[in-house]
Amino acid sequence: MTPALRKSPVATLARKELSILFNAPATYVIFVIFLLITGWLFVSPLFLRDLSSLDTFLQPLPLILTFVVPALTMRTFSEEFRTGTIECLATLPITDYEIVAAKYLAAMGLVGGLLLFTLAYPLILWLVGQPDLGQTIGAYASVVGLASFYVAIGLWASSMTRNQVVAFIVGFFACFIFYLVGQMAELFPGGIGMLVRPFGVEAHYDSLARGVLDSRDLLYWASGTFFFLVACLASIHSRRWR
Amino acid sequence: MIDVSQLTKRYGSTLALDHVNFSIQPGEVVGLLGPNGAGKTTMLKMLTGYLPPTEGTARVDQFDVFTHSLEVRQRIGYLPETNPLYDELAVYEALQWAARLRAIPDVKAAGAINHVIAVCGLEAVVGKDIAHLSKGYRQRTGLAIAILHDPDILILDEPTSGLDPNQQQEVRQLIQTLKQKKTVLWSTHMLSEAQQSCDRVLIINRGRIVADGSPDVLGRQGAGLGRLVLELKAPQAAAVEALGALAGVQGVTMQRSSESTVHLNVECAAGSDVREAIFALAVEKRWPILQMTPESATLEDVFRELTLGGKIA
Repeated sequence: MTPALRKSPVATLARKELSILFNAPATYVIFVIFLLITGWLFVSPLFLRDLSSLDTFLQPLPLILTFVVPALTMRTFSEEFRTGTIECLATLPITDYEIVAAKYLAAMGLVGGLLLFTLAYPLILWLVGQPDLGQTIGAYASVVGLASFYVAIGLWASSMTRNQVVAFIVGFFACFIFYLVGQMAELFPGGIGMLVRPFGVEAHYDSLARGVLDSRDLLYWASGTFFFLVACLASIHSRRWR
Repeated sequence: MIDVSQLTKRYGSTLALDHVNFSIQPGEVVGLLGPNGAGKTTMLKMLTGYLPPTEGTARVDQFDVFTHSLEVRQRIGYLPETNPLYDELAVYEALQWAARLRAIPDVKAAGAINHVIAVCGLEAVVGKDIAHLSKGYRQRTGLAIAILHDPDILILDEPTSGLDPNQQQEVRQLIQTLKQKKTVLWSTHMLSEAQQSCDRVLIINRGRIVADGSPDVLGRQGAGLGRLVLELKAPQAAAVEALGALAGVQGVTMQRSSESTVHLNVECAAGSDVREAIFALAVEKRWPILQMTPESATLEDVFRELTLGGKIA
């Protein structure tokens, strides 16, 4: 058969990847734990302190996602390496960057699905009050940016090993370091804190979550995501040369 | 169709493939034989573009495997040694997914899938998850995925490995049906199946091609290493000594003796025919020859000879 004109396989790969991720029981366990924690963070101030704000859910999110995102992405490459299916993928007419792009899109789809459930919180606020729509949209844009950055880190961590647990630990620590940099910036002496703080996620997350749309924040999420996806690609390449 | 030139692969200090050269013509069915660790799988992985070479080139259908990897991958069907499949997918889903990635148009995909299901005998398991398939059905599924896009070239890494004899026969029959219109390169440990199914065999040992030819030609080359089965009416010790002293005889081993008859295996040096000398000796000594049968070398003899360190003349 004459090879047909090639169309991008990213969507096909991403769909398959997403269906595998949604078929994994661990995915649902992580979903339930995440929703229980965030649900409690949102609901308890609402009922116990009469405080109707998304902040109680949004502020701890950079820390919560340091666990949740690597847990959702840990199998993406490591499982392919463990079972050998990477050989199947890599000998199909697909480039490595298409594989990485597909896995990124699938993981974002999964995290997006998880975040969809949290839309219940702003909807509840709409029922009991008049929250700022712009701020809510900004907050979710910020969460998506953060999730994208963590997903890229999770994919990179997964591409480094055939062991899912190791992938989770590496991914968690990498995300946690970016979380911690922002938290610890004030502890650095002199102007070092000012220099270090922009590298952490907190500075970029906070301003967008307040509804302030700054191109530097968007650039941070985009460039961070891009950097770790390229690192992931390099990691996959390097496995073949070993 | 496949041209390999000076192909070399090193893993650190280990030389897995050592300046390998060979060509395969369209329509040939070539068996790649070799002991474990000889470099067969490394070679196949390099031909599919999965592993890069340390040195040398490989071309498939005029495309360099490493600089035009996508073009090559579109033209080959590959069944890896471990046959890795996505256990979470059902057989039909896996075929559909492979059809999309192979860019088979939707209107043709259903027909292509149904065709490979029929050819590979997967009708009974199309709805089953791959995780629940027997080893034989897994292998057939892997083969179905490999041939789904009707490639001109099939590269199969031990397709019958781990299957029971019936399943092995089924896979061999399947390859026989495919070989009429495809170039097939397959690795196997089973010399009998290479002898039956291949137009040509390449024997690889310690990363080098040590023999290349049709199973019959290699067998004839190996016949130089052959042996004679001899049954004589003669005293045992004298017969062994006298035969061992003949030019061209490398060794004489006693199989059994009964009363005045001895059964001997006479190992002959490469290229030598000692039958006349044995006949003359028997006449001179008045030892009646009851049987003298040359045993032709099988592919297995050739394989053992080459991979255990010997050389074919």
